[in-house]
Amino acid sequence: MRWIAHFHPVIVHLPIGMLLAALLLQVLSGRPAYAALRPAVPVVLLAGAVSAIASCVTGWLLAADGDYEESLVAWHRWLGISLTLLSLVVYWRVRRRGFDRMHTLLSLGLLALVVVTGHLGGSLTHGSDYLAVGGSASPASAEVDSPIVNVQAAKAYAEIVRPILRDNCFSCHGATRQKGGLRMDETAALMKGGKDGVVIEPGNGSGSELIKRLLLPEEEEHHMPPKQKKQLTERQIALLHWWIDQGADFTRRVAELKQPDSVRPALLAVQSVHPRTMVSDVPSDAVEAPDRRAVEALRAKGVLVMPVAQNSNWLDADLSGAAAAGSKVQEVVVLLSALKKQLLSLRVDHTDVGDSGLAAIGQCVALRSLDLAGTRITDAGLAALRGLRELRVLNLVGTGVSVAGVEGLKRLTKLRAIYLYGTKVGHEDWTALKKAFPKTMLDTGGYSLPVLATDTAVVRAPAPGGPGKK
Amino acid sequence: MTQKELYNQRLLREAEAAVARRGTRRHFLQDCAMGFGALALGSLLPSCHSSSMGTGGNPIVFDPAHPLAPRLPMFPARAKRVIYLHMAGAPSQLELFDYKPALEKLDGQNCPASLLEGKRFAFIRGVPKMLGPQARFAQHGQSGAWISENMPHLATIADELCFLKAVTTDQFNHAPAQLLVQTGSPRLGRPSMGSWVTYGLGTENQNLPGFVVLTSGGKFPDAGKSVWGSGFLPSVYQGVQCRSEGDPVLFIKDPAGMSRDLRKASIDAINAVNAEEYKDYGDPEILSRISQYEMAFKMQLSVPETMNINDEPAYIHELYGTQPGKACFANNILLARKLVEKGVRFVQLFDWGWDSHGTEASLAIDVGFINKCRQVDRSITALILDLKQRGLLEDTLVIWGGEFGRTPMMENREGKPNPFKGRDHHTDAFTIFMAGAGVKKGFSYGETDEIGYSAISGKTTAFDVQATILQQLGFDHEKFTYVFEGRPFRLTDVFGKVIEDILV
Repeated sequence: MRWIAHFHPVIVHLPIGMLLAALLLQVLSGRPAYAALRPAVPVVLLAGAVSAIASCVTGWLLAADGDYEESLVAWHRWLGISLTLLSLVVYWRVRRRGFDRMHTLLSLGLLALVVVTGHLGGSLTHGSDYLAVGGSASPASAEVDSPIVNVQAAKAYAEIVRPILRDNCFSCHGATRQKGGLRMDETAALMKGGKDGVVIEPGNGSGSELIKRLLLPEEEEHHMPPKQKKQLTERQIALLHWWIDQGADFTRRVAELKQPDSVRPALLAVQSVHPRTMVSDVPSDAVEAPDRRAVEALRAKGVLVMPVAQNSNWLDADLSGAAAAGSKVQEVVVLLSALKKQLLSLRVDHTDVGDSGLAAIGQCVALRSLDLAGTRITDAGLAALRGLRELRVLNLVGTGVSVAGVEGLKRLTKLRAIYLYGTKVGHEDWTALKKAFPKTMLDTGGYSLPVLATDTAVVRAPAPGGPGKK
Repeated sequence: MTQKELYNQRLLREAEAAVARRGTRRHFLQDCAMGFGALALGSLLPSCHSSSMGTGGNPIVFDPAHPLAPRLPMFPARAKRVIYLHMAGAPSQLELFDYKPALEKLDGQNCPASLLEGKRFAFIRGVPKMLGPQARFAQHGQSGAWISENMPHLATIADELCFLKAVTTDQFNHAPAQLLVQTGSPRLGRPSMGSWVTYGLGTENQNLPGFVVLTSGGKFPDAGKSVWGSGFLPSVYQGVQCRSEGDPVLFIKDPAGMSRDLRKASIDAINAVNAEEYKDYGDPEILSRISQYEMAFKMQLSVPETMNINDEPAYIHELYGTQPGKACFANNILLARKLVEKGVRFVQLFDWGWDSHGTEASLAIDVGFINKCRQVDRSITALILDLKQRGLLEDTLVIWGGEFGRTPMMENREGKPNPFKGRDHHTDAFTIFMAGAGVKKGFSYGETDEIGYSAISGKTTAFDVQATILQQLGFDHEKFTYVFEGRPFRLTDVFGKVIEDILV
């Protein structure tokens, strides 16, 4: 008899549909044109009530399996039974008393019960957030993963294992539902296992039911997650496997656990959780469209002004072609301020821009990257750049700047790299600069490679049978 | 009137008659009937095109009048330029970066049957002997990268590099394997990576080609010029092969007696004729031709100037170890730096001579191979340091690699021992490295088993590397397509996954 319980999710659609149809017919029959429908109302109501009884029976049996959150099931159960009883009462009254005011009130009550009970049923089957816009957010989405900077310092369970389980398992084996009697969001319940026994055998990953199920072929009935759900990646399985192998410990950090070579790549991959956002220095938020005329004016002067990507308003500008187009770069830079909100990267390298031009550039406060290589600028001009708080990369190669000027920029804390090759900054300034820019990569260049004998020496084949042969 | 002129006149009349015949009333009616259908179909087709198979919202618009004008990437790019150092012939990973002490112990023993079952090799037949590493290794830098004594200079910048140690391929012959690495297909006819990139991004310097190829080592790569061909992309995107000795591009100088003004006048005249032609036929290829004439004229000045490495200071020449006046890898690599500095998008270097079979001294793993390493070690190191000090490594991606790897076994051509120590072509694992433009520094990805025979983790393919390069340039390799013969093509065919783990 148990198997008929599985028909509950199918059968429930009958009372919902029929009772709603009965209510619709009732409303329609109030209009003269549809008055002839009136006799159909009790018939449909009765059919709805009978199918509601069938739903109650199958539902009761299904709930007995106990895979569902109890309080939700209780509400669903008793509201469903009330709904069934009410539908019978409404049927009985309409046969006896016809359509009176009381009937209308009871009908409204019936409608409300259908909606609420149906919703609860949906929450049980599809998870309580099944109505959430944009697909099914996981029930525990309140948990926010902080990016893992150093995987060795990360907590193996809390920061690596749990997020995998949460995103892939909790919707069926969590607080709301416990399919197969398995609950995974609490450590005690997870170790206890489900109806068929423990799922995790500490120290024995390959022997654990959890891993076995994950590794079964996808079309196998016992494979987890079920076929139509999102599947775990090879790497995620490797991490779970490794964690169980290392004793399924809930408190230790990765560094405290043994790490065979096979799991290293998977662990390292966890570390770089958001590679895409790091790919460039372009802000993730949008910016208003640049002034078209300002862009055209710059282009007319031979400046290459381009959005950083398709569908983006952020801009890159390159002034190195301006001189060839016969424009005075010094005059062109003044035009840049109209684009100061959008301009992220600016190349003025190897142009005749000087200190006075830097004043205009200093207004482009969104700048992330500024290339001044090979220009006439000096320390005096650099002061104008002190407001470029967003600056990440500054190229001063081959300019006349010295340590004093560069130090003046020390409040630009977002600077990732300053290139100083061919400037007045020398090795003796290194300590001072490193103090001013503790987190910035400073490159004074001037690299040389030692001359090795092997650079030019040629290896010759040993004479056949000679002593040189191994 | 000569016979030839008469003949020409008749041809012309026949052609005119043929054109006139097309204009009959019957043709007109036929065109109306069929033409409307075609019009309707034409308007339907693009809709299937852009939504279901197109480039995903933002198709690249090919402007024939400005084919190399800079264009936008799909998303903000981390790399603006690429230098690809292709060691044609495939260097041995086992004597450079993939240190296998366990292989040392097996040296001279017969190769176990399990490694040979079901495998095909280019030259190994029967049961070969194992060959231990023929170089001493040490760990270098903070990252502890294993680099052999064959690359003493490169070892000093280990912390700038990112190694991929488990790259695989399915081609064990040079030409198809080189094509696979450079064009995404082992067969001829696909555009090369540089062509795709210049097609997608154009180039920032309109006075120079967007895609330059430099070769050294005395021979072209086995796959010939197809490894920098444009395939089905417009031919303007093919690699421009330049030379580091003599004229950088053949015939770039005006012939004796032709002044710059006269050259300008003749190009103007040619373009005027072409413009007339375009008015008559409207074929966009004509605009392309006009722009190419104009570019060629500009390049006559700008190319020799850029290609001349003699104006670099002595200190730079010393750093790179150049040999002025010779065609060599070091000169090419210095040229590559000059080119990317001037805004060339993609520079491809091929260096031939890495095919260390052991059939002769120059191809022996303990003779010729060491000499090849010495020819490139200093200049590659210099390139990365020089790009770094100029701030160019921020957005220049450097890739070094061959087309496959070499076997842990000693080659026995036709079952007989080779006169020198050598290794055969190997597809199951080889090493490449990258540097710059948002790739992790001092990092190593992928591992091989204890004798370096096959990949055990972090296995990647040529397609994965291509996908990663395109990603750094701002392209989704799955959406970056070109429609040819009725279907969209991409560089990575239907394969490839961005190797996210190596990106910052």
